[in-house]
Amino acid sequence: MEWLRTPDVGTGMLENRERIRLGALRRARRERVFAALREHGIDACLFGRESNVRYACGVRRLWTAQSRPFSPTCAIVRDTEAVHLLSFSASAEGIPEELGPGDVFPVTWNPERFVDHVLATPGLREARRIGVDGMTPGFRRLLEERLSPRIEWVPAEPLMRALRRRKLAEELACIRTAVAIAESALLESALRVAPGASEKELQAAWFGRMCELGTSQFAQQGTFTAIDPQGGLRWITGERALAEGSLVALAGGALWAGYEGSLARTWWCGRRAPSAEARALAASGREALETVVGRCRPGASGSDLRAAFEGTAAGRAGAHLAVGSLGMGHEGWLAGSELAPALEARERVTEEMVLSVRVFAPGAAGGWLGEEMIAVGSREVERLTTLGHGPLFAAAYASAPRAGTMRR
Amino acid sequence: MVAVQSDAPDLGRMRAERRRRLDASLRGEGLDGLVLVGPSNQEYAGVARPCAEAMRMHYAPVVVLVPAGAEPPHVFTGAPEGVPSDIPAERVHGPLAIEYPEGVEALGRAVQEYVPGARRIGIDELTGPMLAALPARLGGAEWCDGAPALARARLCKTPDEVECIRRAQRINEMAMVDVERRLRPGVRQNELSALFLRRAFELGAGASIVDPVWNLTPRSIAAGTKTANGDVGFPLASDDRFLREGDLVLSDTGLTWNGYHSDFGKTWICSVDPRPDAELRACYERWRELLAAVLAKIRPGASCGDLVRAAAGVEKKHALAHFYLGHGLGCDSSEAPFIGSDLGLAFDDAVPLVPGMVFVLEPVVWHDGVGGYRSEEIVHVRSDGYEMLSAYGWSPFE
Repeated sequence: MEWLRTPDVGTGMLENRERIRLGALRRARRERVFAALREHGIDACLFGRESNVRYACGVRRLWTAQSRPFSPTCAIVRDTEAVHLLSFSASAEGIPEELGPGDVFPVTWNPERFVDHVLATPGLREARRIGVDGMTPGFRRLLEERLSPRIEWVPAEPLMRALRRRKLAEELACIRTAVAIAESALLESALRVAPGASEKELQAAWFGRMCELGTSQFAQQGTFTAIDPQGGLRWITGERALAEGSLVALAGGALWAGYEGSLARTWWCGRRAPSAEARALAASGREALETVVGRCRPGASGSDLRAAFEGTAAGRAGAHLAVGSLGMGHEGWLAGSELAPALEARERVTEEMVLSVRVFAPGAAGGWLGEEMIAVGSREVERLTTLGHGPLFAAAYASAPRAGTMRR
Repeated sequence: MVAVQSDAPDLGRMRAERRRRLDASLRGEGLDGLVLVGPSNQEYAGVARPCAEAMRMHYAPVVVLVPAGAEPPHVFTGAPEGVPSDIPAERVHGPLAIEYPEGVEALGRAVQEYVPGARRIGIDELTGPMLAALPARLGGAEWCDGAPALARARLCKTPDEVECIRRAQRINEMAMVDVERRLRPGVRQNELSALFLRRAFELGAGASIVDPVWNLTPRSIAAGTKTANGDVGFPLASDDRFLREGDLVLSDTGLTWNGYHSDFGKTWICSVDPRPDAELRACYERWRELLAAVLAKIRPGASCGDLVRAAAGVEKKHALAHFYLGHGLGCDSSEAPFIGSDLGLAFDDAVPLVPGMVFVLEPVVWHDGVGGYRSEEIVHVRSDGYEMLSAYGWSPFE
């Protein structure tokens, strides 16, 4: 599988070899889902969340944000191993070849008709234990009125989260590609960090470059914000103009074939060299980040990661940590400053996971945000993000950030 | 910031008025409080959040708890910068992990503490653990469907909300001026997306809420990909395909400004000299006739059914089978009222037009073999009739 290790972000066709065998990947994911249903004694699932729908059925739907499906959009039945789509944007394009026209229900805006479609899925009416990842109260009522009173709703997100966390080789290849796109687009915005530039301009550059590189499906629309001293991190990009001598948070993520690549960097904004204070803050934040990355080995618990973080100078000084599993969407947190200790204690780093490790260290100079993605193997951890950290870490700071100064 | 010849919206006044409407609505449904998990409902309750992308949002949950009484809501969030200053600091709490049983227990405790003695609590959406565990965690309160109360509050817009929609649309249209110029043979769909989003965000867009669509549309349904309803394949996801001379391109994009959505859809022709042939122009002329007939019916007291009949009087099939003649626009890109959907004419007849309603008309005139014309036009119903919130025009057909 060595040939899968290089991210393929070009669009040209290879005549003699597929880049990533997406058909085999879909088949493997689907087999895993049905195996999990058998293992957990679940008869059928109704999925509404994009990650689970896409993982189970492989369909590329129209990408959206800010809204949620009001209803299940994919039904799967264990005994028939059938996958049925109930979604809008259900044109034949974007539907994998293994699904036929009979597996896709027409769009309806009538909730009762919609529920009739769901229940027409062969085998669903006989199901007793039905997994769901979320639902509106209205659809729950309509389904319960028509299904047997003996049905039991089973939360399916934990099962899907566990499945999605174990990456196949093809999934890793997709993630590497997504990371390559995300970091190239992030650099486009980093190179525009200058006094007088606005936060929105940085975001605009990020979006534009990401689309040029081949995806207009975003994992995160990004944080492009000046960090105020003692002000904390603002996640929502505004219209502020950047000031000389400020630190600027840059974060975002791209999707490629449904897989996420995300990262964060902090860029020095100024014609002058970065202040010693800013460099010290960045060094301390990065040391904490690298400490946690180094601790991400199979078997480590979320509590272990937090303990390692709190042993660093930044951790002791009140920095924030977030370690999450990424792949086909977010797969839950393993450790984090906002996570309950009981949850952290239950979570474990395992082989085949892809993790995002993020640290925000506030300080008198502003703050430093960094995020890296890593793939956890049995013996080694592969770092997926390669983009340098810019002027704050340049050995000899030049007057303007140039590509040559951006070594890690 | 975009120059618009109208007064800037007063966002504080807008939040206060929405809060009053939400309170009247939840009382009207006999609820003592609302638990809001959906991003657009939270936006309506006055709480912004980092953009809720479909594949990440469940692990950055925000919960808004609205007690009856029009007091500021309680907000449970990891991004407190989205909470406006009219919500006091003691009502801003850390996030609730509602994907896990512990988080649902904490939500139950919060409801009991902040809405003491509640008998009925409305909820807009349930996570798996909420579905299983929440009823037992509400201290005896009954949990109910919150959707009717939310739909009632959100149906009519205040003047400030209308202004936000107008500005979102203006940003979208201004960005499209640049895009339409680039619609020449050889341009890739993703290049158009790059140009559109770059311009839209330079102009101050808040979020991209749908993958920009540059639908390459064959002139007959059978020649292309179909929907499950058997109609024109639209909207299709964009990729790196490039356009060729004569391609019929159905664009469709949306973005937000202060939480309010734009909706832009046009029919364009990719060409070095874009000129529709006579038959395609005839589709457009019929479309204009249809739009005029529908607009002529818009006044308070008319019903959505009247609009559907007016459209059908010009062209029997006037919408894509999987969509509708029109849909509401606000904190969601498609919300009530739904006009001319498969809910049927009896449903449309029961929905009267009321001042403050904002909806998008998106009729399609399709002559199979020739192609068709589709454009989205945004209407604001006023006491004296209506005003248009979209202003782009219909090049290269007009």
